[in-house]
Amino acid sequence: MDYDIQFKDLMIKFGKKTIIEGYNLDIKKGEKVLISGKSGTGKSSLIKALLGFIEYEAGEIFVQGSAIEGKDFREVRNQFAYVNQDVTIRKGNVKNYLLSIQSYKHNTLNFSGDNLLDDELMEYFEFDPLYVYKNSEDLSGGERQRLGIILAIMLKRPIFLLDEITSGLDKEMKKKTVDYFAQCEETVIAISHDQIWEDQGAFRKVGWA
Amino acid sequence: MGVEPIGTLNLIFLIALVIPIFIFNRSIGITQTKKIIISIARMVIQLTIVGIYLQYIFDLNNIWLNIAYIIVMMVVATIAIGGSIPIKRTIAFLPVLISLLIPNILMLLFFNGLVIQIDQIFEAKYIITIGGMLLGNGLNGNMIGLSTFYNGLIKNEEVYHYDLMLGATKFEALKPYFKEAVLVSVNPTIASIATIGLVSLPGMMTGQILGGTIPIEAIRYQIAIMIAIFITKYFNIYFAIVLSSKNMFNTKCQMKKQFLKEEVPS
Repeated sequence: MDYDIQFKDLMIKFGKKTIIEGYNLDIKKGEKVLISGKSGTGKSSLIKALLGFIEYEAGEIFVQGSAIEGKDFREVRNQFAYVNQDVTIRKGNVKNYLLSIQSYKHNTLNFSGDNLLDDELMEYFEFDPLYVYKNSEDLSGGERQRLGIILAIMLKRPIFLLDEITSGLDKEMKKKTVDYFAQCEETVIAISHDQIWEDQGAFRKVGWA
Repeated sequence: MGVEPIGTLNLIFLIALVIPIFIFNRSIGITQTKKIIISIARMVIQLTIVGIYLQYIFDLNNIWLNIAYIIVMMVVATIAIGGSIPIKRTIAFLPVLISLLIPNILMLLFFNGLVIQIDQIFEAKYIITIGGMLLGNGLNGNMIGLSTFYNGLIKNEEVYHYDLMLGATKFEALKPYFKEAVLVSVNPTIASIATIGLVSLPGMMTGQILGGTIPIEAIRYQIAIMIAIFITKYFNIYFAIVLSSKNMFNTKCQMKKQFLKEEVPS
């Protein structure tokens, strides 16, 4: 079986508090998975452990068949396009930020045309091209989320990790966003307690804790 | 030549002028009388001790003793810096010490040997005074610079992670905090370079003029020392960040939380 991601007997602790124990999950290539559960139960820590931003206590994580422990994390991270709830982009002018991303050594973005962001994506996600001239801290939560989503798609990485990305969007935009990720070719792991992800039907719902 | 000496009694007269402040303080409800007395007492005691041992060191003027003195001052500065930055003292000690040691020693050699061109580079009168000025500025710069760097990173950890996800190397993702830290460290020096002489005469120049140096000579020293302070301070904070951060991240570019103090000094 061609698995993109496997969690085996995973245990994550936060200080002395156990977030999760004995967690198992296999995700096939191209599969759409929805992790739902009460908020505040540490679902984001699963993604952070996968990306190597927190350490796990026990168990194993496999990405595309090989254990991530001891691997070059640059390579592991380059498999993922990650969007988090707050879209933690740096303060300051958005355009300058986009240009600095393009200068990153392991950049996978390809900006072309007059607009730095992809025209079709901006249209689909109703992101005004003039927003890039604003400062990121002046964008609303929903605008930042749509910017994060557009950037993530433009990265062209094989796996999407989407952590509560619809919380700041209106009803119609939530639906368009969920539809987009339901129909894409890439593997998708979404964390959300928005009912709309479940209702869409394309996502396999898995439990948490 | 030389400054008119100040008698002990005359100094006491001047200090006595502080007493009216206590009365005025009471009328506006400032309750700092005790603090002021303690501060003045500390200054008198500390400077008396410094005066005595500097006299002793200047009289001996032994090269090795002078070098040892400078190094001890750097260790003391390193300990002071360690107390006011977010990373643990033991982790910070060596990187901070080296970040002070190398730029300061190189600058002292250059300054004394090639700028002032004194025969004995390690002469106490020069190395201890110039070294002290460089170090005082470097101490201050490293304190605020390192605090800015690590506090910025702690506060923006998610942003740092997001940048790594977008394809940044560790250095690229740290760059904004690095830049900020160097700027807060050297900006006050650049500002004082730009305004020096307009409002007040700097302490070193004042001292030299009182000591009998003609102003046109004194300004050369002042220009030289300002440039030396700026360059040294810049490399102090640059090295401090580069060297301290070497050990602060694991192979996954995570900041090692166990190397941070439990309570971050503000």
